[in-house]
Amino acid sequence: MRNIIWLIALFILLLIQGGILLPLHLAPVNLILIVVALATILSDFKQGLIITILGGLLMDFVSGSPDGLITMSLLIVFLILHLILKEFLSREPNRFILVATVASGTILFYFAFLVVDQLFGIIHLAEKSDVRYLLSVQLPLAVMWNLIFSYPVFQYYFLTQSLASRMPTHEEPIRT
Amino acid sequence: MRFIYTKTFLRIFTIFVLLAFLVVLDAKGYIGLIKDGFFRVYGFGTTKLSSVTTSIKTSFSTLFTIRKLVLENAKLSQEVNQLAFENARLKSSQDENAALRKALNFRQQSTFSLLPVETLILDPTGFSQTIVIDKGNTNNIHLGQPIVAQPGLLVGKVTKVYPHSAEVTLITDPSVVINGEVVESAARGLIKGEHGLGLSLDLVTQNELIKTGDQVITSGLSQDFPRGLLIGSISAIRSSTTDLFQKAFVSPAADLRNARFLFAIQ
Repeated sequence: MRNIIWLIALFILLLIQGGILLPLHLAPVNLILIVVALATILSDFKQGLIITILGGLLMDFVSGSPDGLITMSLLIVFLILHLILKEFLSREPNRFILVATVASGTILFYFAFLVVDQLFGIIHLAEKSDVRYLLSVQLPLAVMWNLIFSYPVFQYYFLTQSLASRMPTHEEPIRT
Repeated sequence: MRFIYTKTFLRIFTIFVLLAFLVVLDAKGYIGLIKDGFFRVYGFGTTKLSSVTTSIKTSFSTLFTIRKLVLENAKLSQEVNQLAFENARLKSSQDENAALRKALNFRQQSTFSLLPVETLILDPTGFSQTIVIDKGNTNNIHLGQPIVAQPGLLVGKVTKVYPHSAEVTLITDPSVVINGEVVESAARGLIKGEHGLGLSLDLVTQNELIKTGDQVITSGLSQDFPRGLLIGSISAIRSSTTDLFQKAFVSPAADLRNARFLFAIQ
């Protein structure tokens, strides 16, 4: 049930991105990427993994790139951020960590996407993207807009999480 | 090294394998029906939301531009008069042309057979310049089919076909290369997308004359696009006389990011 709540929440974010931000020419913003970056800090590993996969698949379906590439890239971002934040840094999250996570998550996402895209491009399963354009034009804009939108998405994340936490889980109760 | 023997590693590895499998399935077109359903739901939502957003945006922009409206109105009235005159002149030339063709027993220029399509989704990720249209295999849409906005403004070409929808790569995507021809001078060159920022006209020989404002159409050389579809007009020349070829920026004639009702050339 919690996963369904997250699926709906991510779908609403994608609707906002495509229906409101795109007509306002704010195309480089990526709300789902912000959620994934926040999930590395604010969720446990399993929940974060589910959010990443659900968000990635939704984005894959609406993007023109082959399905699976964006999910793979998001997964790489999630795993790297999780490794750095939970294994090496392991500190209480603060504003600075949140902002740094969103910014570094965006940069990592672009690099991960380019690597995955080039790999699948070799076997002709993907169109090779223009590296120079993506890194010099798209990436700085994406970092800027993602940082601007990180606060509203952060609030949205908490709202969804509090809603999801009220839902029953199918986990077995711990027997004492 | 111990990490690779853990359950978490196995789980992550399985996910990556499944995703790679998904890439292959998508390339082979096996998940078309699932995507069709998703496009309908998502397309419905974004269409409603974007129409509300656009109307709010328009009302706000009207407030800011109300002063300019009087001047713009006068300018447009003048343009309408000029265009009406040109239209009349062209109509008479067309009649004359038709009569002459008939007299010379020339084949009448074929008009395009158009299938109306509607845009469901614009790619919001920015990684590619694509749109999804509401017609697919079942409506005789096929790969490489040109998509135009009325009355013949080139928008893009079909790059993926599903049973009830299709993906169209816009001409502003760098993967789309078109053989173009400048109407005024008959200079030929290659048109390539510049990631939604516009188009570039390249490989025009130095002995051809091109200038700002010239219109560019499809030359029909590559067979991908029929001849005579309007691509756009030259907005700036970006090469010097010392360059081997002339280069120019071309502004697309069709409003690609707000294109909703389009046509597939059959």
